[in-house]
Amino acid sequence: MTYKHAQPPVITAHDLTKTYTFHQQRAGLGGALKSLVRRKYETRLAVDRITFTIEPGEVVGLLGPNGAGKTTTLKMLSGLLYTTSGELQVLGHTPADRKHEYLRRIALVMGQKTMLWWDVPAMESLLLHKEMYGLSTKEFERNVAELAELLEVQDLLNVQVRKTSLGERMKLELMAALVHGPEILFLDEPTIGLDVVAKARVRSFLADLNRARGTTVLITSHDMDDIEALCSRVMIIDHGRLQFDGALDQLVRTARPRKLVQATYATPVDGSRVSGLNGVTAVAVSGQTVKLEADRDRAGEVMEQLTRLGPLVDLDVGDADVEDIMRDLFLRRSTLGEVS
Amino acid sequence: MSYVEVRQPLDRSWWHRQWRHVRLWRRFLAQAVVRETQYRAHFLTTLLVGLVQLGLGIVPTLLLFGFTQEVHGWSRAEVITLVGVFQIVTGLMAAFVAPNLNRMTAYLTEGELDGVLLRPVSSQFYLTLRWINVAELSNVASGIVVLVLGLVQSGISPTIGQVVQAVVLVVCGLVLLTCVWSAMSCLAFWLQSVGPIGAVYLGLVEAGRYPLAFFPVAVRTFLTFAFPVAFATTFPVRALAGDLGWSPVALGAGLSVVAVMLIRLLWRRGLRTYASASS
Amino acid sequence: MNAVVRNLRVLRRMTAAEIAQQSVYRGAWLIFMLANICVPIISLLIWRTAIANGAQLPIDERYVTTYFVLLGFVTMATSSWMAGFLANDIRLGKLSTWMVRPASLLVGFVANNLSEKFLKLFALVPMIGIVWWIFRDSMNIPASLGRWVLFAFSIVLGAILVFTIDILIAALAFWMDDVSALVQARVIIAGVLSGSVVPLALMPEWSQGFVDHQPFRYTVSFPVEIVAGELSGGDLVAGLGIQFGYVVAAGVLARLVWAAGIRAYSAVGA
Repeated sequence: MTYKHAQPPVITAHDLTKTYTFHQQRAGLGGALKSLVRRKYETRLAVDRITFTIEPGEVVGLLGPNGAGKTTTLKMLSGLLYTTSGELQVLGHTPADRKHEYLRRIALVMGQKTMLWWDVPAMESLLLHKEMYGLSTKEFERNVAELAELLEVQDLLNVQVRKTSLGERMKLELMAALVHGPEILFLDEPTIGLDVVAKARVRSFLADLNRARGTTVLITSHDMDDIEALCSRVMIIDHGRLQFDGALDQLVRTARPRKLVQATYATPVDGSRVSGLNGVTAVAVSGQTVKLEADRDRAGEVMEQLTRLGPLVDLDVGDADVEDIMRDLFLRRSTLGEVS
Repeated sequence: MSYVEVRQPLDRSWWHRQWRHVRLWRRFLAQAVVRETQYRAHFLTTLLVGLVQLGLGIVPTLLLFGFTQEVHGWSRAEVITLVGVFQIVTGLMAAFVAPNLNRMTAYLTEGELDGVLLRPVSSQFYLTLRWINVAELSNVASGIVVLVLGLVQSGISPTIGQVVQAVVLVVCGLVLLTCVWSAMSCLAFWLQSVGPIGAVYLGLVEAGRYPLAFFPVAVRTFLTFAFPVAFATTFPVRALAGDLGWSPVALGAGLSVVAVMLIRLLWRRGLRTYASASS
Repeated sequence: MNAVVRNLRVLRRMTAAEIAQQSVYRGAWLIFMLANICVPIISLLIWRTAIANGAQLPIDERYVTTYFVLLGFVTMATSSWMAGFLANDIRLGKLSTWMVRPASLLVGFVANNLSEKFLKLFALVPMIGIVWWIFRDSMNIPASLGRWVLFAFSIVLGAILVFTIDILIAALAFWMDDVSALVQARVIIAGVLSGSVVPLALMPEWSQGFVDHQPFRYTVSFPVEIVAGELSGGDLVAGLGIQFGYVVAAGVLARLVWAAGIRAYSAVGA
């Protein structure tokens, strides 16, 4: 996380807004003709006056439930979408102009959509990138070698992309995205669908990248672990509005995400002993299973109590998901101080 | 080692930008050749299908000249020359343009456009020329054979100047037809299922098998200005035969420039709709 | 008798369902049919030019005009595209469930065929109407309703003939691995011999004997000839008889080959 104070912010957004206007699509030829004559318009506010600044070298996480506007924001920042109103400058450019000089300084990787070509080996896609970004052979080979080593994909470069596993594919995507040395890397759900090992590799790679190159990284994610591992700063977007913008530990402290605990026993148990505990909510007992939610800091105590309820067969502990955090967050909005 | 160093500009001039695109296209071609050398069966079937279509397409002409010696000044051999040129033109389109324009709807609805929009290359260039069907060049070869046969049979021996005229006209025809087909495919930006529109193009282009003179006057205007097969087939053959001045060539070149400008505008309009509407 | 009635009812229901499903794409059919009439119109124009230029054809301008105006309609009405799909079903062993009731497999294909033609009709007829109106002065329109009835009847026979030939070709998939080349060949050969490329009357002299009697004439060309041409009453009846004969022959052959195929299929094990 190198902050180059002498340099201006890489991203400045002020009152960034995106509204979708669409007309009702009516089925059939008759409907299509009717639509020509009289259109019924509907508008949807996807992003509502978001303001923020991002300095070079930051790693920022964009968190929020599905449909909150994270991906829309990311698409506006990269230049895929026009903004409806507000000011936006990325690296001194207006992204939606899509000037070639701007585009060669950024990269976008979408976790759910691959931008590599399927039937060809990854190396072929990389060679295309070489031509597209006007890289010299020396520069290209140097970057490819470095990235391949860091990502441990040297053996995969000549394998057809469709024959690689999901984790390998994401590494190759990252490689392709970085071969032209962008200053900003936009990532949309990069670890979605990956197994634990692959996720860890991607995270450590991104951390190294930021450390060594000073690449600014912007990640949208559902996954708190991604954010926790990488981001010093978190922006939460919900219902199109920027609900929180600050340090991660502050968020964790304030949001107090809960743990979901499920205990299964050999014989039916009485859950009343745990329902009264401090920090425990949503207790559901059915026969041999007890499900509850507990505050993170009380989780240990609660689990201890659970073991005393009866012959424990299985104990499952999971994190409350982002929606839970949102809910928690908004219940405690006054303590956070609204950021918008 | 940081990337945040002062960099050379990507393109020092407009020419450099065009050259960068040419190099990208060369890579498309190289990859296509490598890919297709692995599929010999595909090459053979393409060749075979092409020959059959050539044969079928020439049946009406041969039958027609069974009943008469010439039609509007065109002898059978001259029409065969024209069929040769038609075959060359359609072969080139099928190799370089068709694989992409046929997939335009998919590019737009399946989000492949997104992958290209953020690259420092012209998205229109990329999505029009990305895929190359090398096997279709066999049809260009058979077209050349038919062309030569026709020239020999009709006794046409063009001068260098006439050959140049013909080549320029064919290039103009290619550009114009690509623009027309491209414009039809661009409807995918606004309509849902534009798949069959490629079929309309292929149906209309069949008019190129016959000289312009075989059609009524109103249709001739259509085939010169609205769907310009005339520049791709009739005018080049007339140039080879020596009956064409330089004014149709100039007209063709002028129309081509206008068409390219229009198609770029259309694409940009389409992108604006796409980039404000996609979510 | 019960089986036939039941099948007809299933057919009606399936056809209705397919029409409903596909009418969402009405726009696409419009574009598709527009593409389909391009070639007949181009042919129409060049042959008229040839005649106007003094070519001595065995048929006159009115015949040629009427022929090509109706050609698009008749080709569509008699078309079939199921051979490849049926062959695929055979190859992939999907017949196992249907071996007990082979009729219902075909009912599905018939429903699909009829429903698409129904939709294409709506797209095609207005376009042909426009072309008709443009060339109305040089067309042979028979005055008698009887001719038109026979025209319709002949189209139905032609459609059944094409469909049956397709079943025949597809049935070869019981013995052959890849029938797609044959399917393609049928399309090409039928294209020429049915008069879809050029009126059969314009075929060279030496081939007339063969061309006039081969079965593909009775798929597209014969129905069109009923309206466009100068078929005398006797020729007309004889032609219909031959057409009917071909339908029956193809049907019998298809049934035999199919039965043999099913036997071979179940002998090997599904």
